[in-house]
Amino acid sequence: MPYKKSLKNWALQILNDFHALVEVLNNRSKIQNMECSEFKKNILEIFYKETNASFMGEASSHLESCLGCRSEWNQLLEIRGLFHGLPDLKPNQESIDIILTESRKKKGFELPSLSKLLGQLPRLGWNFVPVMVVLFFFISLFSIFHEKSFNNNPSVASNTLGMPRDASQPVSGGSLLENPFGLGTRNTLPYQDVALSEKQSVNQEEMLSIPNIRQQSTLFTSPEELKKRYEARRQILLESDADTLMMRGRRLKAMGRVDLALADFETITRFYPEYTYLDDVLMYKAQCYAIQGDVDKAIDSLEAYVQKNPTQKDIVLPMIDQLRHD
Amino acid sequence: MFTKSTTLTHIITNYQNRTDEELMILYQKGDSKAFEMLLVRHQKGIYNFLYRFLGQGENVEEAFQEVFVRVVRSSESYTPSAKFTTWVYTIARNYCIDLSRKGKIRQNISLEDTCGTSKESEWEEKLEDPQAGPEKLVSAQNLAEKLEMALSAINPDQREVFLLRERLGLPFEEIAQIVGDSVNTVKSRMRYALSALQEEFKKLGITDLK
Repeated sequence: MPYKKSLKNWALQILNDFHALVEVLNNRSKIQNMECSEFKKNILEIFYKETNASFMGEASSHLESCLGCRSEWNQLLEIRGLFHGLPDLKPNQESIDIILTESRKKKGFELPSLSKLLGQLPRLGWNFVPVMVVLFFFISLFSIFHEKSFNNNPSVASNTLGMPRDASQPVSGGSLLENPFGLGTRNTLPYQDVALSEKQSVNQEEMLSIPNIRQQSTLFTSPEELKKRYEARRQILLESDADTLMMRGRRLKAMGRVDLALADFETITRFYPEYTYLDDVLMYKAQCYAIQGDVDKAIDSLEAYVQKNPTQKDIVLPMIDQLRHD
Repeated sequence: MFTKSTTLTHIITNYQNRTDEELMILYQKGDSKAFEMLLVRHQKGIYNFLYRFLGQGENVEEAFQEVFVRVVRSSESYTPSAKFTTWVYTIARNYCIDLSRKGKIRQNISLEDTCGTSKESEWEEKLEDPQAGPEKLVSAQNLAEKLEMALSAINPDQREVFLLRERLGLPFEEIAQIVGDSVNTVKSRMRYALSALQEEFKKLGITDLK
């Protein structure tokens, strides 16, 4: 009977709807009456999602229907929105550099492990050993023959005067005090160049080569040859220092600082007895002492000059007599 | 950013998949690049936390340096059982407390203080909108200043919880470890902070939030 079937279905449908409605109403009341306080109590956990999914679901449903809780929820959203609009600030690069420096200082540089170091060595196999032995042999030879103490030799005076070279001025003549023996007419070259060129044991070629002596190999040079070379270089350096003192002494004498000039001339006499122009120095000394009025020392200097230059005896002796009588 | 961009790229490429704790362990073993990665990750967070907590522009750089220097010096004592963020923010917080005890932090800032003026360029970048006029920029700057003022006006305990939760996204449990209190206390402070901020907003006239 179709009529009865449809009626039955209709009744069942109504009953089902009724049950659903009752359930909805029950849930609604449950949400409204229970979860409002529950919601407010756990609003932070819900807002920041620090709760389980089912509770989040219930809270979400509650929000849809509860205006009061929704209002409170919106306030939190507004605050979040405000502060999320604030820019993220960045520290200065200088601060970062300081921190990084500190972090690296703390840890130091990373020392590679021994295995890494060994892994980076060229793989020469057993050939590496004899290569190292030969290398060690040559290094030992070099260290044995390498001259180490030359620069520490106290007889090699360091030229710290730094006086500029000055061409000697031609002097036409005059008394002992002005220009004995016409020294100024000898040449216009600085003392150093004249000394080097007149020095018999040193020729230009050797002079140019000696400054590079350290670049030359000393492994196969005989000790005598080495000694000769270093002695020659030493002489050049000594001459250079004496030249500087000479130039300065002459300049000081010309400026009238006879006492300071004497100091330089005395230094040359004392420490550079083999100076090429020592006779000139002695003559300058005699002049300076004569200017100072120290006749005895002036005479001593002249006598020393005569000893070095006996051929000038006839010229110098009258000067000595003149000083004695003055 | 550091020495060369290639160096930073190298650091990020090789260390980006590592957790903070792993990086810290690497640094303890002598890998300074791991520390650089940590610095890349957390420099902004730490700096902004310090900036908004201290409330003074001139001390922030010094505080930032000091915090990370302390991190470096304490690196040997770090254990992976604690989260790195918890550890580093604890150091930052403790430093701020030390400063406050020495009286170097002002609790309130005046209207004349322009916390954001030195960062005007950042504001301009943030509001990089061809259609945005100068009024919008000024408005944004004013709003930022008011927000900073509101933040400075609330209780420091509440402020730190708010910053750690809202700006840095740390969970309440971790915040509790940092500040050394219970989770319920932290949540309570957060509620008070939110309530206090709302009150400050009313005082400062922050009503239209759109």
